[in-house]
Amino acid sequence: MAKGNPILQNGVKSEWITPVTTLDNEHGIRHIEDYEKIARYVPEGAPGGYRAAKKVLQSGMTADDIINAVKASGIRGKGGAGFPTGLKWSFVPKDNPGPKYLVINGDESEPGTFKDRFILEDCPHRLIEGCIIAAKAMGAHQVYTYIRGEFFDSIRLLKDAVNEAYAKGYLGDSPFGTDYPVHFAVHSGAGAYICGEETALLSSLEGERGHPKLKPPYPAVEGVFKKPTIINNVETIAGVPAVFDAGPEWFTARGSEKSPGIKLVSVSGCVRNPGWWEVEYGITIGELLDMAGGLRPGRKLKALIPGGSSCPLMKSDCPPVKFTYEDVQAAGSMLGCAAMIVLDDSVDIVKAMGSISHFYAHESCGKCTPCREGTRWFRQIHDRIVAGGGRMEDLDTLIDICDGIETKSFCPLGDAAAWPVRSAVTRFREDYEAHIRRSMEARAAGETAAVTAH
Amino acid sequence: MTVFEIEAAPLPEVVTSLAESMRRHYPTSRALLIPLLMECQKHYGWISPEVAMGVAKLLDVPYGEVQSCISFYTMLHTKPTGRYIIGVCRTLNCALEGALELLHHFEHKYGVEATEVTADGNFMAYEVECLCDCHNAPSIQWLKAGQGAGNQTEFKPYWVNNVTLELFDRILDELSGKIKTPEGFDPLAERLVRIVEKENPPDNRRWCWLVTTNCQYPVVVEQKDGEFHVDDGYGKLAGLKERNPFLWKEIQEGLRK
Ligand SMILES: Cc1cc2nc3c(=O)[nH]c(=O)nc-3n(C[C@H](O)[C@H](O)[C@H](O)COP(=O)(O)O)c2cc1C
Ligand code: SF4
Ligand code: FES
Repeated sequence: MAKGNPILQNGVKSEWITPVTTLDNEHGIRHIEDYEKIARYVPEGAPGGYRAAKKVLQSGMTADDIINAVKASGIRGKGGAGFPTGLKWSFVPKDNPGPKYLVINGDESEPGTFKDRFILEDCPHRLIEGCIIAAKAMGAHQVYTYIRGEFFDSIRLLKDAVNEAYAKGYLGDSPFGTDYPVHFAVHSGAGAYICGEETALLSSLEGERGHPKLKPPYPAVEGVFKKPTIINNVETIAGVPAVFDAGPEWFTARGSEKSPGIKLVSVSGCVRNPGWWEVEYGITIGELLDMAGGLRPGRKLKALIPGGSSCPLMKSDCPPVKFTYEDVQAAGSMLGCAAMIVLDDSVDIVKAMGSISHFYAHESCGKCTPCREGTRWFRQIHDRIVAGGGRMEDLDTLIDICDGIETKSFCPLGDAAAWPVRSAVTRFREDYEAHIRRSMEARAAGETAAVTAH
Repeated sequence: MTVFEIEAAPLPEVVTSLAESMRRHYPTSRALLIPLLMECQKHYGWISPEVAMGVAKLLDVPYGEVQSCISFYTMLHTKPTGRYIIGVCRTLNCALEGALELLHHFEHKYGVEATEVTADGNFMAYEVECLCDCHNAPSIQWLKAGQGAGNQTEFKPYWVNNVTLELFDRILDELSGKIKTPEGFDPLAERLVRIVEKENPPDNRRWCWLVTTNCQYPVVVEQKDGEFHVDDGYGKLAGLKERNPFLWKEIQEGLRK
């Protein structure tokens, strides 16, 4: 578990990254009064206290210098897709007249995730500092941070932190006395998972229903208000100041070649001490399980979802797999946003999948038919199997529906709904079959009972 | 009622001031729509056609489009919701910890279905999807509507996590006055759920988990002057005796056992 706190190893103060990255902390802890204190806390002169943003703005680094440094660090997007952040920033057309926008995706709602919220509440200044640097890199003067509506505390605390940064002269028309204005707006959502998808988020930001938009044009070319826009996850941007404080090599020295640096991992489900940790990529799934206190007494691992409910289920042989994008993918799943959901042998996989398919049926935005109808069928079929009306052909039907949704939906939510179902039906087929066989036998017994009663 | 007969309600100060402070950041006024509707929702507990018309007029957005947005987002309600909106997370992690039983209990207790208001006008419970507090499952968000919903003081969000069925039931009764509560006691404020002693502690001190309705604290317990002092290493429990005497007392009693 020595990998639990890479930040401290570098000698950078731990509260600068997040206040909960020390080894003995086994839980994400929140307490309103403390958020208050931390949100008002601008560690002036302390490592990380806007030192990186000040350096970037005052030293006259060009946009290319910044982007190259971020590229060199190898930072990958933490929102789910893992797209290289520096590369994404370089897609913004340089000679485009008119405004450009930086949008921060704080619509954390993937089942199993709880990480962005703690950045927003415990160290919002890290996010603001990252935004200043990112805005400079892409030529934006306006930052929008879209936070899901349920996070009232996060919204309030981030707003406090923003006001404080304005008062200190870190945001505004001349941050750190330079002539590069950066303005910051906090935008509240109102409850919709699909608004985490980047183009749906832009629709919502414009005051529309949260429907995804057709790509291309990609947001980097034509995004919010039809202007070039970069969308990044909260955690991604909160990691950017470290590139300029600790240097890109600090990232490349950690993790693997393709997954450098560190990641916040949330572990939930059937473990003794669910919580979240900042770890280096390359730690194994088994080590993460140990951090979360291991399985409950007397229980065995049944299935594991490594990156939020949109990722395919892994079987119980997954603990040796390394937690990097490439290794998890090679093992047949996805790292996603590193929200690990652990299911032990007390869990009925069919019921668990029923719960997941309820989620997607509720959160499908309804814009395209394969996803709107398919997610509903997933739910109906699972509900029927759970209620004891299962039929063996249901399994083929489920796979059929997966075929009908995957790659045929308008946005990735459709795929995200189908992947877990496909993996469950193929990798845990015996569970489905046993469930169905039991209810078929019960039905048959019921029928014989009804016949003999006459 | 046709759309022509809906009269725009004057919007409360919280909404107009939010609009004013946000407007300079956006090239269009329409962009403010969702945040302003949320602010109305917080203030009134729901969005009446008149309020929706008020927002439509303020932002110069067609009324139909405002309603179309309201119907899309789950947190915006078009019917009165009672004094407390109870969002019970029913997604996987919370379902595993019995969230649906809580909801069924609620429906049974008050004879209403999810999204209906109880007869006493106090509660409206409904299913929500993952609240991103899965490590404290089951997770429930209680929203107390603001001034626009009767003689309340202000909008207040509460998280009530880790709850058992008994505790959930007790909180409902306390809020609706069926159980008398001491002066100054807020049933939704952080309270103790259980204490779990840590097996194999790393040293010879007493270690436990304090599981509260907010979170789970790993703490070291020390006895001084006949009182138990708990320390989670981050000072998050410092000054608890003054800040939340009820929780402090519950912890003292729990640790004595
Ligand atoms: C259905 C769906 C939901 C998503 N939800 C989120 C989310 O809650 N938070 C997030 O940061 N990204 C989410 N994403 C990913 C975003 O579309 C986008 O890739 C990401 O914000 C880019 O930021 P990054 O490059 O920093 O990862 C979601 C994607 C899809 C398809
Ligand atoms: S795939 Fe689903 S969420 Fe995406 S556009 Fe289609 S219906 Fe909407
Ligand atoms: S599943 Fe309930 S909070 Fe995540």
